[in-house]
Amino acid sequence: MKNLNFFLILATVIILTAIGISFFVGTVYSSTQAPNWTGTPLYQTYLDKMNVAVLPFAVALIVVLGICIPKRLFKDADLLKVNGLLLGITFLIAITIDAKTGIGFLFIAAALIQLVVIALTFVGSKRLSFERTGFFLQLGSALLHLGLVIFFFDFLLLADNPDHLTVFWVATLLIGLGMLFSFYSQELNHIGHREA
Amino acid sequence: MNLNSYFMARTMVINLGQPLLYFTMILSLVLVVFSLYQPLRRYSRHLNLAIFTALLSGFLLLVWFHYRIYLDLPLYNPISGVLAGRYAIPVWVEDEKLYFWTLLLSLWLLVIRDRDLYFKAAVNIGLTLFIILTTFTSNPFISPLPGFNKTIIEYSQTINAVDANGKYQLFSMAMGRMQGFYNSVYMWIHPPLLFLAYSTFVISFFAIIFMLNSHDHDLDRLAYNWAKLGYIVLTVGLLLGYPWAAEAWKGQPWWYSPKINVTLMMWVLYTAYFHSRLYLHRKGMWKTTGIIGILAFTSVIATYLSTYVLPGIHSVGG
Repeated sequence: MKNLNFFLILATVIILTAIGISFFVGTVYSSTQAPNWTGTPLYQTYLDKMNVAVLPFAVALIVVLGICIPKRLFKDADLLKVNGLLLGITFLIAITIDAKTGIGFLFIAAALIQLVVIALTFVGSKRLSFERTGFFLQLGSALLHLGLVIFFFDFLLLADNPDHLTVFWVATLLIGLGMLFSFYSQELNHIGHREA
Repeated sequence: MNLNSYFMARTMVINLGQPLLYFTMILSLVLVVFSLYQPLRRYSRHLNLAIFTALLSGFLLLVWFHYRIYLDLPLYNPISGVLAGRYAIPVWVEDEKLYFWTLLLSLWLLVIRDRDLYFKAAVNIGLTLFIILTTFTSNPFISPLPGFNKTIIEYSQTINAVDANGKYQLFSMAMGRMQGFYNSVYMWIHPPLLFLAYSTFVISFFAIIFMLNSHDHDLDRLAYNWAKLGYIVLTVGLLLGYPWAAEAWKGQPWWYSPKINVTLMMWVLYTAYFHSRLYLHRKGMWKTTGIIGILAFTSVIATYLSTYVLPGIHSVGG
């Protein structure tokens, strides 16, 4: 389990660095173009190329996020089964309907699991698995990841929806609170007189 | 518009601000000597306070100048003669950005403890470098708000030389710029949060350099503490910028523009740094975390410079 956690974190680091490098390459490419090139068809080609470059890493990040979230609740063989089931259904929906709906399903499932994690954190359940312990740290991590799931879901599936910005603000609030709680958990534990 | 009063205020800012910034630069050079020469090192804290006070005085001078603009340059509808609005310009636009960043860095140096003197000396040298760069590349007192000044002069010269239709067009453009940019709530919130984040990343960067060299866990903790503060502020700052960008740049090509790319690069690299740090005790992760931290800070510098040197919707230079 500890090795799985480590490899998931390592995978996250590698994927994030790869996304960073993709953005760097995009920056170099776009800054060498002629002025006002955004008004030419060349710009659309560049956008398409960037999407092609970033998409595999973004999907990989989403999949890792989808795997990371159930690991709070399930262990060993159960975790493999749950992840297998989630990814299987995602894949099935992706090939029968479309990729967006498939990833949308993964996000909804991850968000529901994360809500259960938050509820269990509040009641002080011992069955939750986190890299580090502490009420605010776990609550913060759960809120942050829930916020990220909602954020990605909003951008992927609700970009043209009238409620896009409302959902965006909900995600922003969760991400902000999540970061505050997880980064300053010790201080908050001290204020709330909770055991770390 | 009371242009005379505006020009007088502008001249005063130039006459007071320029010597003040040069004086601050001299203080910072003395700080370098005090930081490097051990018998004098314990006095460096006083110099830190003096530098912060000097930078804050300059900042207050700029605040006063912006207040004068608010009072002296009301924008009237040229057709009806009704007051349409006043310029409420944030104190971190045009050449004031690097100054604001430097001011925040000097503030943090007051709260860093003298536990690791070599580290503190390095950050002091970093601050001096920032002050020198501000003085010679982005001095807000040489020509305060040059872009705004040019626009105001052009507006006041042309508004009376055109017909009613031309007057209304010029006024509409000025009003659009005032409401959409200078007076925008976004301009008051988004940039200062980013500069607040950048200033903490500077300290984190120096701590990472020392952490890599010394394998000192205290320095890793220091790097992490400053980076996490910056990361929260950066994330919130970037997120708050999104609704504004989506509205202000509707229909314009801003996604994957160079500035957006480097900004996202900076954010993902800091995210990678925090994830990597979770397993710092694992073989190879100390160095990996440090290198990712350095790359992340390099992207902070690239993000700042991109506004000036790269073309795109965020650009002021190209």
